[in-house]
Amino acid sequence: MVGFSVNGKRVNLDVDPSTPLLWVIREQLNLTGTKYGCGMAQCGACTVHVNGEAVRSCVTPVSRAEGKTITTIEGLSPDLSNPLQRAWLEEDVPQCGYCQSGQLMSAAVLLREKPKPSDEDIDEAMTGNICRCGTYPRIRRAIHRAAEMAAKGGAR
Amino acid sequence: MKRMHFFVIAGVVLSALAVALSRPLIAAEPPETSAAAVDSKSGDGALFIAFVPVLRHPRCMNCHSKGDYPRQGDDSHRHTMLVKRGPAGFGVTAVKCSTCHQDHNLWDAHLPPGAPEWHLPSPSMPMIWEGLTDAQLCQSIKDPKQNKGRNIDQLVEHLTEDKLVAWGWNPGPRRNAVPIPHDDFSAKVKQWQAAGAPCPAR
Repeated sequence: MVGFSVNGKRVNLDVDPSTPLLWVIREQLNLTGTKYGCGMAQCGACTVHVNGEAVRSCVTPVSRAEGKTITTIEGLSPDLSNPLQRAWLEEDVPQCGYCQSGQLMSAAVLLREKPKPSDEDIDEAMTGNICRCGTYPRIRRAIHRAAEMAAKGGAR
Repeated sequence: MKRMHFFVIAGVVLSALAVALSRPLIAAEPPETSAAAVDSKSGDGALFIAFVPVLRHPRCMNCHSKGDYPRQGDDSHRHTMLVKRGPAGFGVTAVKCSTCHQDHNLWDAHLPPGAPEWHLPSPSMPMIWEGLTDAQLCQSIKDPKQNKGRNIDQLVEHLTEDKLVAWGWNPGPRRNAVPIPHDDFSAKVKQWQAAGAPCPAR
């Protein structure tokens, strides 16, 4: 048995402790917003938060989640009110969209640690999240916009 | 009775003789220590040089190299994704070491290797060994101002027992381990410690 919290809900699961966290999130918990990209921690599509830190769930055994707090894209906010989600919509960031939940989860860690990031901070934080549609300029604009919203008390 | 005295006296004489003869044998050990001390003074540094190939191996050097970032592979190329050292040596914001690295190796060479506390030295004490001579490297790892405040005993413990250091002997599939077996390395490090941790002159 492995027990942890997902998006505020406590779960106990009878799974092999070496099962990738991503598999558990998608197949046991049916939280399919988190995507499988490369399966090797090379692309960032599977990024979730473990105790608030960005983690590639595709290579993370579920045993690492034991007793911890997991946040997926579904838990970033209950109603798309997170400044990042609002900025993403306003900047119309996604193209195909496949990488975007991972991009948002990484951006959320960035803004928590650096509420007013520079372009360089954004590049450093987002370097592990690949977008094959090349939405990087919009991602950067949206992160700046979200930072401004948060600074103005924009988190509803 | 006289015969008894003879045996007692003979025994005492023989014992004294044995003690006298044994002294040079016991005394034969200090000259080795003295020789090590001479090494230390002359800067021979052979005891350090005996294990330095481990420190200079990419499994160690890739996190003790120049630049504000880790390296990868036996060719020590820059870590992909432009990963950085970060404010404490554990990466930056959403790209921390633990974002991808676990506390254990994964099942293939192209997956992130892992060990407990996977990280680089902190930027305030980056422990960069690249470009140092053997003498400079030896002095560097002994200097508490450059080695995270470790005395020699703590340094030896770090070299021989730390789990992240030990990863160098167990780097996971299709990665080359450091060149000296762990037991031999530990013995050489302790031999160096016992001799007063002498460094090469240059």
